[in-house]
Amino acid sequence: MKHAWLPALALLLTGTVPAQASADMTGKEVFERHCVYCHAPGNEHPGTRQLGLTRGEDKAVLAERDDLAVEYVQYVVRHGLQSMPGFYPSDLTDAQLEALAEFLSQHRALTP
Amino acid sequence: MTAPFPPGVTAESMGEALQRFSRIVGSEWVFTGEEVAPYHDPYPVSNDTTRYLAHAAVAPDSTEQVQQIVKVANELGIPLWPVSRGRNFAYGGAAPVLSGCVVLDLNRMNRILEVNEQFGYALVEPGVSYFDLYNHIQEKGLNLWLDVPDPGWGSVVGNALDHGVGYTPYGDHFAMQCGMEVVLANGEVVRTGMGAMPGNNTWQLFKYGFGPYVDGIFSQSNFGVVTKMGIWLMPDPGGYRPYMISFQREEDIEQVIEILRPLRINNIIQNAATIRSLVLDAAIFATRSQYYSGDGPIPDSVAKKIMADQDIGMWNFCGALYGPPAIADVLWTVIRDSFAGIPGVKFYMPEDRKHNPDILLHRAETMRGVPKLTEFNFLNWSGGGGHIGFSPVSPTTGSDALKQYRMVSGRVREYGFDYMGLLAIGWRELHHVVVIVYDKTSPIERQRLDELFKLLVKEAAAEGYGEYRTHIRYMDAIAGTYSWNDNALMKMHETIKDALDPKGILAPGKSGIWPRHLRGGGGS
Repeated sequence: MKHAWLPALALLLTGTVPAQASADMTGKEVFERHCVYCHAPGNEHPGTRQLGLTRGEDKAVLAERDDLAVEYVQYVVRHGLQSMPGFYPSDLTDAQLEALAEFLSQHRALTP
Repeated sequence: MTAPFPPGVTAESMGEALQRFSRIVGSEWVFTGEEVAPYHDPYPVSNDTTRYLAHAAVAPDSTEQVQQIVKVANELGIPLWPVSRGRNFAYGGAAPVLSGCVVLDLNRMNRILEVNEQFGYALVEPGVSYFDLYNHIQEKGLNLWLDVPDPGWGSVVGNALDHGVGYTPYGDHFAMQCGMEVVLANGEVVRTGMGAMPGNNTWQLFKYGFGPYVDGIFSQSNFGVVTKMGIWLMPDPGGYRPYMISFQREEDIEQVIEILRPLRINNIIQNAATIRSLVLDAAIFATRSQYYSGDGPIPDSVAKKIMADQDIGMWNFCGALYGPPAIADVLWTVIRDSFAGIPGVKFYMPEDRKHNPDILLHRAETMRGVPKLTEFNFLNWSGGGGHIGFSPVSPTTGSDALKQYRMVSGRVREYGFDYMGLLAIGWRELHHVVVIVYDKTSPIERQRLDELFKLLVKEAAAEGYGEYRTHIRYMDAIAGTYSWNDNALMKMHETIKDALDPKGILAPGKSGIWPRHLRGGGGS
């Protein structure tokens, strides 16, 4: 059994590992990469908490909202809202933003 | 909004530069017009809407592209404002000190070039976030821990360069950096330390190489663009036990710090631990309106109610024990016995906490290097969205801590804000980090904050307390307080600036360092 505090068998990782997301991410993947840290369910997530306080608990969890329009999501992601800063197009591209906005608005699209 | 031009730069020159940048990086990575919106300061203090505005942004993908951009900027006299990930939001985000700069956005340079488990280090580009590196380590199952600041989306490189701190034994991030690659203003690439030797294999193992140690001049500076950095990572310590010790009275901070100093210097307290104030801790999972609807800072009676409700103290010391259980047991005995004599002291382990979520449960994750954004729940304390940090450094003495606390909290409350502060315990000093949450949409409140901040800087400096880091608006003011011997240090910075960047294209005004043609107020 390996003692956790001892250095494990020497493991040398070399070579480039891109941390960046690929250009063809799905909206859900974009959400999970960029948004969940603030917008996952639970009061430990500042975005969820802020939305609950300002819009009501029924609108706190972003991925469960049924009132988000594509254009609105695109605007907020680039310009920010309250304490949320805008996201850079270098980090979250227009194509990824489009996929994200479609993902977040899908409940709305399903609503008659 | 019309894009501003830097002083002395014509529309023709800027247009040519942006065209040439497009040929280097691809036109889809040059951002102008409405695309520049995210590069504005998300938490502005100034009511002057012409300040701190970028003209455009360019996002290279490689060191070679950075070199080419810098060469064009040099030829055409275009000032660049380099950012790693631009998540330094309480300090201006990606916004430049000098309006009209082109942001050199390094987000796309986000490669994790190496993670070495045997020696415990990573070599990363500036676009790599703490989330990225943490996830990589978890996915690979490596026996390594990160040290993280509160904003997990920040850059590993950028945070170290700005002297950011975390909360494990590796909490002094710049102390943990080892080896840089830097693009100079003339486009030349330099590798520091052992990286200067062809064929070396200790670039991330030994900092100093041979000759002058220059890494420090690329931190909080505008002397080069850091494109790679080594950062040391802590091996899994083999045991981890977070704890919280709460103290009931404001004045306890004096005795607490006196007890802490020898424990920290002797490494009984192993990590970069923090003593946090009541409202800062309360704000993580509660709001001001839950307790008080009046104007101005909360009264003492409300403070007592919060303490009882949340089972926290007026001060809360969050620390952790690192190592096998036998070591942790011994350390905990010493720590507990050291504080036991303070009236009203309470000791908590995670299993002692009544609520979830809870401040200790939250800090327990941060102190073992799990990147998060939970800390920014404090922005919900009073709403309004804005926050800024005032962060003077003091010696680790009880009298300095109490004096600092009284000076700053008094002024903060006088100006109508709640005091939300923490003392981050370094080896021999305290970072007194004071967060001021304000309504960024209110010009009146911004004006009040601006007046307060300038007063805090002035009063702290009069007592010998200097800030370690600041928002873009106050860089000149803070630099001006480091004035010993007729501003000798700034004169040296300017000499270096003139030698390395004679045309002043890199981050004019960063840390109060201006190129020759913009000195004396020319840039502001």
